[in-house]
Formats: sequence, structure tokens, C-alpha cells
Amino acid sequence: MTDTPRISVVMPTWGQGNFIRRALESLLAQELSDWELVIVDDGSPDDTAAVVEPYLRDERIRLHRLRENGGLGAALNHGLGLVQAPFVAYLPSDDIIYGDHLESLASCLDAAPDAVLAFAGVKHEFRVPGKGVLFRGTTTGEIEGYGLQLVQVMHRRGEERWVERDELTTDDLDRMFWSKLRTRGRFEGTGTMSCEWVDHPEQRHKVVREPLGGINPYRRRYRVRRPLRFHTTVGNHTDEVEHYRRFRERPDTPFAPDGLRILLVGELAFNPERVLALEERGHRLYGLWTPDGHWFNTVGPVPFGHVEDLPPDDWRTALRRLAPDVVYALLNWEAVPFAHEVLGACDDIPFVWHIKEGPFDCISNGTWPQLVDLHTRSQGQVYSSPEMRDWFGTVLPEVAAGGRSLVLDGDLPKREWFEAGRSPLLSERDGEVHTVVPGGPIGLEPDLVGALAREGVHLHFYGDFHRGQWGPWVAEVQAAAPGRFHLHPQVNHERWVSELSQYDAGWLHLLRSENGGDLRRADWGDLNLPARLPTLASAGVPVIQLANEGAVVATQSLARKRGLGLFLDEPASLARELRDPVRMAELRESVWGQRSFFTFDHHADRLVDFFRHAIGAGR
Amino acid sequence: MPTWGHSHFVVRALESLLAQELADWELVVVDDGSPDDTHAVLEPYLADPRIHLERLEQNEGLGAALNRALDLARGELIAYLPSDDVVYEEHLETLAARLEVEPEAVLAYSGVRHHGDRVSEGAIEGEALQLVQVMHRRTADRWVERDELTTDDLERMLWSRLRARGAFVATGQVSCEWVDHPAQRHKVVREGAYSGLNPYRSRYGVRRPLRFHSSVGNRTDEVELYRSFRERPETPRAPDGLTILLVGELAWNPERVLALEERGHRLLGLWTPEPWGFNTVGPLPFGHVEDVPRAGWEDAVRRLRPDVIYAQLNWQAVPFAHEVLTRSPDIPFVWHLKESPFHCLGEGTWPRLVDLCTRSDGQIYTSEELRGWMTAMIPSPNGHLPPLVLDGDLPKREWFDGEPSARLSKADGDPHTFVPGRAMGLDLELVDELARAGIHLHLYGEFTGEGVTWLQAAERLAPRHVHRHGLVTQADWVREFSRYDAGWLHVFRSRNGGDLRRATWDDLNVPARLPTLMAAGVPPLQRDNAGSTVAMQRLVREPGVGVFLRDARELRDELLDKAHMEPLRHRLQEVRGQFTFDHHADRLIDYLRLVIEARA
Repeated sequence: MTDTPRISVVMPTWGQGNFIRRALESLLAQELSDWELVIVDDGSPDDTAAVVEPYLRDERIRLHRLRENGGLGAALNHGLGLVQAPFVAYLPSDDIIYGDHLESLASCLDAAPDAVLAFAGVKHEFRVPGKGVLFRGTTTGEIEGYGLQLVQVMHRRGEERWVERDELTTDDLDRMFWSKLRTRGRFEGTGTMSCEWVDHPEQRHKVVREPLGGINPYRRRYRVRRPLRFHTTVGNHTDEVEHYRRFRERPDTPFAPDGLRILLVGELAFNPERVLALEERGHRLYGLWTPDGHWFNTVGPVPFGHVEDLPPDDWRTALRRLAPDVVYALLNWEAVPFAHEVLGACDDIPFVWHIKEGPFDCISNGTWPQLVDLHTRSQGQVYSSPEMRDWFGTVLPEVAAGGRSLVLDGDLPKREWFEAGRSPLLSERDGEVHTVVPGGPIGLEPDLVGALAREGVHLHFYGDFHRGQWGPWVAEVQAAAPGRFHLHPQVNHERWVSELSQYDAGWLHLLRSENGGDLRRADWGDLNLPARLPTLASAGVPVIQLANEGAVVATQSLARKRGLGLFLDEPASLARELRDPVRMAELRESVWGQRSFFTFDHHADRLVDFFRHAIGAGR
Repeated sequence: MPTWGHSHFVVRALESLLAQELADWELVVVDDGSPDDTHAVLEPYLADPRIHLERLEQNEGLGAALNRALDLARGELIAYLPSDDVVYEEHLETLAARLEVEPEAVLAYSGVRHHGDRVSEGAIEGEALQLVQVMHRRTADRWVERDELTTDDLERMLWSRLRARGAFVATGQVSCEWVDHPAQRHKVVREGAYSGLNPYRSRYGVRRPLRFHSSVGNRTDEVELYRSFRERPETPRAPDGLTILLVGELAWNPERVLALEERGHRLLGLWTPEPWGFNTVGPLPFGHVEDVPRAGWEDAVRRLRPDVIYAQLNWQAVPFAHEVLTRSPDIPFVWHLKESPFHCLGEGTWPRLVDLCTRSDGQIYTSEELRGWMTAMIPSPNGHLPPLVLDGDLPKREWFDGEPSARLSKADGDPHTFVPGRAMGLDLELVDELARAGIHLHLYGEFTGEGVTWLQAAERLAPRHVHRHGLVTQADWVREFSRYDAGWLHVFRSRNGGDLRRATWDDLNVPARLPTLMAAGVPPLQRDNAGSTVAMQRLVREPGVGVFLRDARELRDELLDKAHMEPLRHRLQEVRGQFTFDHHADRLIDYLRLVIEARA
């Protein structure tokens, strides 16, 4: 085609070989035929190109294939760089448009010269997988809570470009592009419904948006090798580029003469870079990641480097070829099904299974049988607390009797986050007591906070207090502890020591244990060592927890044994303790002196020795 | 201890028993036909002389397993420990002590932890007393067994009879856990998504027809319903008879497939492992279909060499049908789709549906409209056989045979309409409008949950015109429903304006109640959606057998207009046979043969 068409349609696509025909057929059925289409295949791993092939005989249609996935923004910009028409429309490969769609949008722009963008009404059936429930929705503008969607938009061609992955990954199209257009003119609705935003579980915004999507599901699906800057309409901002720079940019450690080739299997949770402690000791790390899991279960390609991934599609062959010295499978319940699958493929390869959270989750979500296999059929088991090991002893006594176990918290931070110097105590400035809760204030009832406030004890809460879940709690505590309750934004690893060391003490989860010393009655709160324990320890902050006399509680026995903190019985006596400078200084120095125990590095040699033991035991 | 397939749980339960403070107990484990290595896991525990294992060769159900144990037990006090639960160390002691001080009591129950860290002092809200929390005196009463009833309601299975004999007393202490996990028996029994009659049958491999009534669903009696089909002899194989492997699920009217067997074809069955309650899967309760075991099905299929795979029907079958398509490349494969492509989109199985529709050798769609929609979305590759149109869930002709009753309107002069299932789209406003026009509305079913709330509101609104009736089985369709002047299909306003791309599932669907109405000879009633493409509208407009709602008063006049309705009913009598599966069986076989020839 030599003449410039009236409309350019940009179709970004990734992995939708079985959707794209629907979209193309709906375009071919348009009443208006003066369009061109640029399909940008953003590194599809499936047969998209073959499916599109027959359509390329239509000279209005072009296909551009990007070798690697570069993200929605880059794909759209690639398309914008190729198109000619004065109007640009979008047709994501999983959506469809009705016969009058392009015509009505173009007429709308023609009729409104001051409008930069026209939007159509859109049909949307909300579907709930597993329930077969359909909620039907149509709107003449934005779908509530989602903003304008690509399929409903046509805009005048211009110089503006979409935000790309290097800058930000988000589900917020306004932030990616529409906001730039808004500065150039108004947006005009056609008032008619002429397309469908097709609801299905693989939609991009669903893999981006927490809690079902998020940074790790996104990374895994598109196999993003670079660290991400990630911020969705519902979650917190994450900048892996800065966070992991020092790890990523250093050279690989040379392989030690007796170095092990360790295949990490599953997911690495909150403090994933800890595994570099193994690499720093001259071991070589490989990764094979669970295809499921939540946004907070870190999977590869890891953003801090030095771990080589096995190909997810044909991992069995790769595993046989690699024949690692040991498989180190971990960590939370989300990893259990995949770790179990890999266990089944590791006939001759020593297999070590490390569990944190938790056996009760596995029971309630139906993966208990696989978890039992991971314990009974592996060459070594690592438990995150002695209490968890003993609990397993009550349910799988033959495993406990096997003596192939180690106790090690599976999600300890890397030592680098512990290196900063301490800040002065807030209490030295105003003479009052300042405590900190670095995350969900579990069990901190407003009455308790109020009672402590009356004793001159402040509470500083770090977290996403503005986002829903803790909102009502914040309001109640503000009323109960006027002037002594303070909100702070979440604090990253980089600032743990400098920020948290200002406090006299920090709160663990306040949980009343009901087990009375009987492990069979234990619940997760009893067995767990929460992530905030090493966070507080990094800054030398003594921890506060409920006094659970006579009960088996992992945080309690650890804190008692190592002298790490205080035990709340009733508020007045806790306040007295907190106000005792001698006692508190002693405690603080005790925690500060032991803090390396809370780094993963401290235990790395012990873990490697355990691997060697498992390898020696053979399969 | 009743157990089935709990080899990964049973050790936990046993260890909690071994840790009891009270040591004077015996344990009878009844393994109700476990398919896993339960026996091997239990083996080491049998060295304890207090522990006995009784193995049932086939699964017989919870009631029979418990009764076997009651027959074998020697203690004066009987406690239960399901193999997935846990007792705390003082559990037996406190229950026994309670019964000792309450000689009048027949049963003692403890408090119970459940769903993680929740606790209940007695029965958990919404549940009967659970096995793990109970101890009762030795009794001649026995549990209800499968021949009589399958249910999740333990009250109905035993407790109610014990109640008649004495008091139930509480220990007031939490001394055990009812362990919450997805594979619990009550979860597969109680009707919901992926649970109910067919998931139950499928899990336990029950070969007999079931009498089934869960605490939330409708009563089903397959024993009576299918007796005549089950008890007749097999049809001799025809000389040119096909061996047809049914794959997936058979939905509401499963016995329809016997129309193929009656024509001398041999039927095999291979069923989706994850049916919903109403997706009928084998072992089929009406016989004459040989099941292929799901474990190792590829070998079995190679051995049985079916002429054709006939895979079907609703979205729940798509993942398994896709697996069979992918792994049986050498056998001609026909895919029959009913409900629905929209569900597949929502479930994330659309890509697999597309494979089923483009890589199979033949496709069957339930309506012209569904075929049109699918082929507009995914054009058939050139050279393929054109798809066939056939409603995949038509009833067997036998249900059309009953004797009609007199119409109610003849007696009282008012039109009577009925809804043969959930009142889809009949909002209260419409109920009111109908009642004001003097049109009666008869509702059928066992009403639970939201259905009850709606029904009560409708009854308040139109007390003289809304009537409720119990569930009606296929055998009573004609007798019961022929009393009405018209029957409601789903009530909705179509908005597609004739453009298939704008269609919703309501537009493409042929609801199961349409053939039900045809069976009873009752004119189907629906909103007038002239100008839109609607499958169930076309199906009744073409032969001129439908009634259409525009206005309630106009509808009343139409229903009472003999000159209009009599010829309509007459036409309906002429065409109703087309709504049996049998009517289309030869056409279906011809299509299967075409597919087989095309492959050869």
C-alpha cells in the first residue's frame, strides 16, 4: 500500500497464538477498511508467528518480531515508530472489536478537532476461575478501577512514547502513556459500546498487579533478565536496579577447587540475595524456579546475578546434563508442588529440602502429601526452627529418627545490610521510650498501645499504612495514643540499621500461644521465626513479645536463650523495664553483639557442610 | 479409624493416638479400599498388639467401613479417629471420664480445633458433630450405608439415632483437631464446584448407582432412575458397529449415549478427573459402558483400539479432553462442545479449546449460533470436515413416553406457567407483573441458600400466584409438566443486534430445560428478542412452537387463546421427538464414520 491509510492499528502480542486469530478476524470484519496493522510480537515463545503467517498476505498487515521480550511499552513504541496514519488505534491480541469500532472512533476524532484521544464503550465480562461465575459489565468510558484500556482507544499520532521497562513496569496505562496525551488535548467518548476487553487469567495486567500478580510472577512469565523497577496501581514501589547494584556489578567468584555445583530449586522468598553467600565461597549456583507462587516469592532470573538458570521448558534434560552435586530445594509452601516434581526427577542427585512457611499451609491447600514426600525421600531436611523440627518429629517420627536434619532459618538476610553504623537513640533526645513495629502490627491492640502511651512509651509503625488493610487500626491507635503514635514509610534493607537503631525495642508478632507445651497443639505462630526478627537484630534492637510461659514458641525460646529481648506480661511492668536504662543498654549490646548470627553468611559454611554430608550419604 | 487414600496423613493420626495418656485402648483401622500405599505405611504399627487392620477389597463407603469396625470393636466405649485428624494427649481420657460420671449419657463430645486455629466447644457451626470429637457407648445401632444413602450429614448417618437413646454431653475442653484440607470426604460429598455426586463417584470409583443427598444439594436416586436401562441386556454388536471411546463428561442427560449402544456400537468411557457435581462421569450408573482406567489410560486405549474418540462436553472437560487429544494422535478424534467458550476464556482454558476445535478431526457444536460464533472467531482450516450441529445434552427418548395430565387452566381458567429449574432471569418485578395479569408461576426444586430468599420474596409478593413444588425426575416430566400452558426458558434481553461477535452465552446456549419442555409437550416461553441472534429463540420460532413475552397482559390473552394455542400445541407434538438424542443418533454415527474415513 502506498497511500497513507486513515488509521494505524498497533497490536502488541506475546504468547497468544490461540487468541490472536480472534482479534485479527474482528479487525478484518471492520466496516471501515482503510487501516494498516502493525503486529509487534514481543518475543513470543509459542507459535504466534506461524498463526499470523497466512494473514500477512493481506498487504495492510505487517508483523515485526522482537527477539527477546522487551515489555509492553517497548513493543508499543516499536509499533508507533513504524506507523503512518494520522490516527492510531490499539488492538491487543486477546481482545476483539465490533464491526463499527474503528469507524465510530475515527468519526469521533474528526468531529472533535480539539480532542487528542477518543475512547469507545467497552464490554467486559468479569469471570472468576473455578467458579464459572460471570458478571457482565459494559461501560461507555473507563471500567471502574482499571482506567482506559488499549482496545477502546484511538488517538492522534504524535511524538509521545510509552514508558518502557528500564524506567518502570506497571499496569497503570495512564502512567505509561495516557497522562502524556492529556497534556495535549481532551479525551472524547464515542458513547457507544464497540469492543470487548476480554477477561481471562493470562491478561497482562493480572500478572502485573498484586496480590495475584506482582514482580516475581511478571519476571517469571516474560523471563526478564534485568532487575526491575516495578510499581503497580495497588502495590509498593520496588527498585531492584539500585537495590541489587553492588551484588550484580561485582565479578563472579572463581570456582573453588572443592566447590559444589548447587542447583537451587523453588523460590528464594524475601531475602533472595542471601544465596550469594554460597557463591562467594566458591560454589556455583544454578536456578530452577517454581512456576507458581506469589509476588513475594523471589524466583529467577534473579536480579542480583551470579546464578545461572536452567531452561524452564526442558528442565529435565538440562538437569540430567548439568548433574549438579546437590539440589537445594526451598522454601515456602508455594514451592512444594514444583520441588516435589523435581525430587521425582532426581534419581541419582542428592536432594536437600529446606522448609520455612509452612506445614499448616500445605495441609490446608492440599499439598501435604507432597510435603511428606519431600521429607521422607530427600537426603537432608533443613528446618527453620528447632520447634519446627520437633513438630515434624511428632508427625513423621521416622524422619526425625533419621538424623539427617539441620536447623537454619531459611530466609536470613545477607550480611551487607548489617554494615551501616548505628544512629543515636530517640529516647536520649526526649527521655521517653520509643518502640518500633517494622511491618504488620499483629496483635498490637489499640488498648495496649494506649496503655503503653500513658506510660510514656511511643510506637513507631513502618509500613503501607495508607493502603487498606491497617487503615482502621491506624485510626484507632491514633485515638488511643495521641502524640505517641508515629507513622513512617516502609524502610528498605539499605536503611535498616540507620533507621531502626534509633529505637529502644521492636515488636515481634504478639501471639498468645495455646499449646501449653504440647507440640501437637502448636500453630504456625508457635513454630515461626518471622522475617522481622533478623530485621530488628540487624540494628541491634531488642525484641518484645508476649510472655508465653509453659508454651513451645520458637521466638520465645530463641530470645530467652540468647538474651534478645523483653516479654510482655502486662503493660506497666513492660514500661518499667523499657525505662530501665541499665537493663536496656545491656540488652541492646547483647543483641548488637550477636547480630551476625542473624545473617545468612554466618551459617553458610554449616549449610555447605550439611550438603557435603548429604552428598556423602548418597541416594 | 476409617481410612481411604491417606497414606501421608495416617502416621500423624496414629502417632497422636500412641501419645495418649490413657493407654488402655484398641484400634481398629478399616482401610476402605485405598488405592495408595496406606497398607505399607501402617505395617510397622501392627507390631503393637492393640492395633488391628481390616482391609476392604473395594471401596464401600464411610458407613460400611465404620460398621465393619463397630462389629470388630470390643471396647465398651467407641471413639473415632479419622486418619487425617489428630487427637491431643488427654483426649480419650477426658471423653471416657465424662461418660463415666454421666451414666445417662450415650455420647460425649470434646471441643475441637478446626480450620487452622479456630476452636469450637461442641459442633462446629454449620456442621454436625465430627467423628474425631466423639465417644459413645457401644451400641447395636449402625451407620447408614451407601445402598441406602450417601451424605456428608453425620447426624443423619448415626447421631440422630443415638440421640433417641440418651443425652449427648460435652467435655468442654478442646482435645482434638478436625484437620482442614481439600481432600476431606465431606468436601467431595457436599455439592459445590468440583464436588457432589459425580466427583464423589469418580474419587471412590463407585460402580453402583447412588442414592445421594448432601446437606446442601438435591436428592438424587440413580437406583430407581436408571433401573430399566441398567437391567436390560447388552445390545449385540452390529456387524459394522463402531467402538467409540467417550472422553470427558456426559452432563445432565448421560444415558442418552445408550442410543448409540442400542444401535450396536460398543461404548468405552474415559472420564475427566475434575468434574463438577452435574458433569456425569463413570463408572456410569446405567451400565453398558466399559470404563478405561484413568491411570495408564494410554496403554489401555492402545489395547482397546477404539475406532473413534468422541470427546465432550462442557468446559470442565476441556483440560482432560485436550490431554487425550495431544496424547492419542493416531485415533480419529471428534470434539463436541456445549457450555461454553466464554467459560473457557474465564478459566484460562481458551488456548486448549482452540486446539480442540482446530486440531481435532471433527467438531460438533450445540447450536447453529455456537458454530457461527466459533468459526467467526477461529476460522476452520481449509480442507477440514465441516462441523456438525447437534445439541450435546438431549435427553433419551424414554423420558418422552409418559401419559400427559389435564392442564390446570382448564379447571380454573387462569394461565399456569412453570419454571423447570432455577428461575434464571425471573426477577421480582416480572413475578409481580405476571401475577397482576393473573398468570400463575410454579417453581420446582429443593430451594436452598439464595434461592430460598428469592422464593420467599416472590411468595410474599404474589401469594396466590407463586407455587412451589419438589424436584421432578425425568420419569415424571410428562405427567407433571404437561399440566402447564407454558414453561419458562431463561429470561434475558439480548443485545447483540444480530452481530455474533457481540453475543453472550445466553444468546448461543440451548438450555437443558428446552428439551425438558418439549418432552412434556409444553410450549417454551421466553422474552421476545426479535432482531437479535438467539439460539433458543430460533429453535422454537422455526417450527412455530414458542410463546414470547412482550407484555404480561398480552401473554395472558395469548395463553388463553385456544384458537392460537391448540394448533401451536399440535405442532409441538409433531416436532418434540426431534428433541431426543435418539432422533439424531444415526446422524451422529454418520458423522463419526465420515471422520474415520477422512483419517483413513
